[in-house]
Amino acid sequence: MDILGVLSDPVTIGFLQATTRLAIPIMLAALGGMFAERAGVLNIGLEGTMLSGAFFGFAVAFASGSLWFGVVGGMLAGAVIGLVLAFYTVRLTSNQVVVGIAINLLMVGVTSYAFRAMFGSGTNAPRVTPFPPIELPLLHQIPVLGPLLFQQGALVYVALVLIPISWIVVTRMSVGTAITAVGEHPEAAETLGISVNRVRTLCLVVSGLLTGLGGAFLSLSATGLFLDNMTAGRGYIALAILLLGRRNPWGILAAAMLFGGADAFQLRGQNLGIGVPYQFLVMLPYVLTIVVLIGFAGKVRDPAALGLPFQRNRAEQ
Amino acid sequence: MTDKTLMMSNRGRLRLLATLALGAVSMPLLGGLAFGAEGLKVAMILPGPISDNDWNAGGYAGLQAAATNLGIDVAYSENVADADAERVLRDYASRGYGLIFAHSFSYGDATLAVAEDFPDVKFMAGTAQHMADNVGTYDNPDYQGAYLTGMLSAGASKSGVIGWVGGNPAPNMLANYHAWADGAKEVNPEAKVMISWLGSWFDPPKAKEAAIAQVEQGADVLSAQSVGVIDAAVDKKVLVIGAVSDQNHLGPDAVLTSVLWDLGPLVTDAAKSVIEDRWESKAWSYGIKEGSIKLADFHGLEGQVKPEVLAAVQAKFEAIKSGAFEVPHDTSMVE
Repeated sequence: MDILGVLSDPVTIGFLQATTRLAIPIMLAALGGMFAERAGVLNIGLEGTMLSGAFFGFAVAFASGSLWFGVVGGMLAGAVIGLVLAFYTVRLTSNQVVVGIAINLLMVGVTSYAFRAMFGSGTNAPRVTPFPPIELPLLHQIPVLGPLLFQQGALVYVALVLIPISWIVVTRMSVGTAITAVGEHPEAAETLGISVNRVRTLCLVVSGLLTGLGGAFLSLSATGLFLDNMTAGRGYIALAILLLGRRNPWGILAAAMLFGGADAFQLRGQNLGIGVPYQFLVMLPYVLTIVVLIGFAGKVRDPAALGLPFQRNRAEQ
Repeated sequence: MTDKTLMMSNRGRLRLLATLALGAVSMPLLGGLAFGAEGLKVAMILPGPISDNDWNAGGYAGLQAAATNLGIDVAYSENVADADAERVLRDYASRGYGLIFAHSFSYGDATLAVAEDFPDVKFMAGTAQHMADNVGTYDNPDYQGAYLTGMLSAGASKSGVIGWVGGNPAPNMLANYHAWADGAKEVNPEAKVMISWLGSWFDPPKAKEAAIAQVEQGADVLSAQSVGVIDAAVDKKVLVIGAVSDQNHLGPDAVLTSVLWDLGPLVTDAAKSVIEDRWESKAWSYGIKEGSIKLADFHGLEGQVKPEVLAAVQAKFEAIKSGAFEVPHDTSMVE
């Protein structure tokens, strides 16, 4: 069997398409987490932020009848949570891990309650029609890359464009240097006239926007519905993915694709009847992430000020 | 600490005694109220959201039906994690609820533990394995309906491949799968039945992906045991069997029929038997015979199935109802 034949097989094409669909929401949340961590704030609240993006994205889309309004709504909801996180971790210098966990627990309750308040507690869950796949002219015919990148819903293209943009922002622009400075040595950054608090707040808002978009992807592109706790731990996996991607946008894209690919593979492996217990297949993406993470662990260096609250009045001593 | 207690004034001691006495008097009073015939309160704790259009929605609808039928007070707690089940059950039992439904097989141990401490409260443990004097079990015998939809699925499939997607291999899920596969094999002994587990009860994006994977690997009729599967069937333009309630509105051209589950009669009868003091610990099962399991309307899609298969399904339904045919109840693990 020739390679081109395998690559153009419908099952292979389906696998590649599913890889991207499964990777994108995690990639967006990891990208959001990257901005926060580069500025020195450990954003454990990705899961809760994502869940609120999924809910508010869905609610706004349902109420307005426009998916794009929903996308904006989900992102804004994420940004609001970013501001809340900033208030606690930057302004009040609270423990970042504790605040993040609190956000995660809080949002499970808030979204479930808001869903019932808005749609009632009936058994007839509302739906919206999700983003349909769009085939980009010519590009979609490229083997492998076509189904992987160019036969997807509109939000996938938005997400993919955000990768180079993020890369330019964090590595090629002065604001990226400021973020790195704040994350590595906030005292030095402050003496150079960079406001640590402002940079960290900004990063948390951007983190919220991106993570909220990841959540909205789940309720508006992956499916057209909202269900309690539908993020199902993707925000936590994003924390591992951003580490695996070394807090670099391209690395995060690759790491998320690896995870998505493993997930798409195991869902297909279950139907082949190859005799592997399903539990091992369900575990595959997680095990793979851990194994690769162990291989990379020695080489990843955290920003020096990661997780450390910054207090201006103390820094001067 | 000890000094302080000794130094307590006489009046203070008296007040304390009076409070204790009042408490002692009121305790049995409250208890009497709780278990009085007309004052029965029924509670249900559920493992997931009542909006899942599935297992939890079915439980919730049954509870509400009993409340309407008998005019009794009901309460529910949804999204109760296994680790919290014992605490929530204990809370309801101590607040005077006389009949409590633990609506998940995974609450079995917690139910037994709480039931031991509240011998006067009746418990119903959904699809649980063990019973006690005041713990009965009940199930969702939707496997009886699944046998029929398995026949329909094989009758509607052109590729001869059909696919089943579920959350985790709980006993009722396995029973549903095996009956569905058995029904399909009765119509088409060559039928290939795919099965996918998500490893999670509620993950709509993943359920949809699992179903899409099955369709891309050849399946053209699906069984939706998890939220998201019907969305995949609509996208991929294949047929799908709904669960618990009539889900045709989610995909008018995709949802062939749904296995309807009405827990109302069971909850109502259980509550009535507690009120009339004749409740007994047993495995309660209300299936096709009791009218709790039915197939939904085809909504015009019956043309997708060969007429002889439709007639066979109708005959099988009557046979199950009359007791002439018993759907095999197989809860063994797959492979």
